[in-house]
Amino acid sequence: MLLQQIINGISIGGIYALLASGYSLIYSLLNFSNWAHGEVAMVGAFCAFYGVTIAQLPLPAAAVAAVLGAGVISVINERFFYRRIREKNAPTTFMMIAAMGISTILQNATKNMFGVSVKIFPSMLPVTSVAIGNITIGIYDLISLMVAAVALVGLELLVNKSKFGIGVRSVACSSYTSSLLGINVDRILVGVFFLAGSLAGAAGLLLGLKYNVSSTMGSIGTKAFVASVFGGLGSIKGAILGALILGILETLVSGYISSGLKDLVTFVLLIAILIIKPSGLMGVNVSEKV
Amino acid sequence: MGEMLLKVENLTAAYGGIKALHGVSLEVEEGKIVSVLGANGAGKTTLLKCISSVMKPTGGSISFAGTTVAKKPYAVVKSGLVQAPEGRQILSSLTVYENLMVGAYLRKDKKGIGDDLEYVYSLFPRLKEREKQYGGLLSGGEQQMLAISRAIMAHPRMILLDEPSLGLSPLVVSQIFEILKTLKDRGLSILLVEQNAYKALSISDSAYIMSVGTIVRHGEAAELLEDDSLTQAYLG
Repeated sequence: MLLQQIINGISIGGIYALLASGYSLIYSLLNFSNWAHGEVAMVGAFCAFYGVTIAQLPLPAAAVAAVLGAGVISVINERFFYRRIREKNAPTTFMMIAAMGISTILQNATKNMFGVSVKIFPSMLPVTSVAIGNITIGIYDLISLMVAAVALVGLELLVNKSKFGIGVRSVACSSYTSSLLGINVDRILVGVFFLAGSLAGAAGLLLGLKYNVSSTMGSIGTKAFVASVFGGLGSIKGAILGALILGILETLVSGYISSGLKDLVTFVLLIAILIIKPSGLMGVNVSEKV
Repeated sequence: MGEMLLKVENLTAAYGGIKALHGVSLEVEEGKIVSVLGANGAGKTTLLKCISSVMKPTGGSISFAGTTVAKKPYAVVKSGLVQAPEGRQILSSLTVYENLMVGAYLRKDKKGIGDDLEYVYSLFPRLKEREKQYGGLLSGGEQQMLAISRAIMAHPRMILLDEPSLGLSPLVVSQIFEILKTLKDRGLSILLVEQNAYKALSISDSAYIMSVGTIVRHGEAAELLEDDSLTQAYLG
């Protein structure tokens, strides 16, 4: 039973991790909380939903639509809003306020265009589950887990092993020095926003498949934010760890206490942990900033 | 006379309303070491910031290799003009090797990058030993070696060096200045900004002396080195 709950928790935590890692990545480069990140995931979910229902796309193609759609909207936010604010040398708080604005705009635009009704994906996969010993795992949860695992391992490799990754970590360290050394900082940021956006798009699709699609589903971004703060803002590994712990906590609380108290108990625990360790699980350590 | 690689004409710059440069002009001939000397607050770093396009001048012009310098800092590096900034600015959470690769970020010639890597490791064997260490863990001298090596990795025609001697022991300073001469012999042009006037003049071909945002004197390094009144008045 406990193991079962933990597996379920990891599966939802994996989805949070897809969002939280992007949150953290953007924070580590620009030092602001991108409040529009949850809505980017929502845009991804809508792309996939209408891809499936109107364009009759198969699930893999809809997944590509979600990833690309969310990636593109994320890049648009950076290119046309955040960059312009940065170029005026405004404080980073202004970018955060702009992100809040973008979040509200995207939410309301979606509501007005597609209605307030909750949209449910037509079932595309047989409703089945896989049994491993005593544990059963639903097919969607299994897919979530695998997608999150592959995407996050890929992200870690990209950031730590590739040339682009060196550029990203260099800009995270100092965008001023990076530009002085010949890095096109704007281009790195476009890449990072696309990457963070696509991960969010994948998260949006997985959430949409697990629950449903609606204009307000971007509120999940708050949880991703909490997870990344909890893990230590600016650290991708920390964000992933924080997200997994959040997912497990939530499932355990719903399973053993009450699903109505899920958010309440979880957040109380998180606040308690932050008081005990204010830097987050993996924050502060300079050598671990991304 | 060789070609004038860098030409700064009547440059003015300001922070907010406060003027930092009042019409600075200077030239660096290809293959030479030229120093800009002066006390703290003379405007030396401001001058380098303008040349590297991280700061926008309010007037005047800067040309490199016959064309106006690019507007974006990375494009300035691409044109062959790179800076080893004040305070070294080592990327502390990147390894020594990764710092060097950031220096080579704009290049695509794998072979050339490999050759230059070998070259900087031969100049500073310490860096090779510490290749996998985080930049933030290096000593001040090692950080300066890394900052210079990182600039070389861009395969530039000219390097701007901002106070390479700052905070280093005389022994390390001598070692680094010897390397600068080696780089010059290799054909690299160097604009060296320093407070350590004697050290800088001893390896320079010519020098400019700056005080409160203007050039107060220009001459051959050997001639300036003999002028005691000058060093007393402006360099302290």
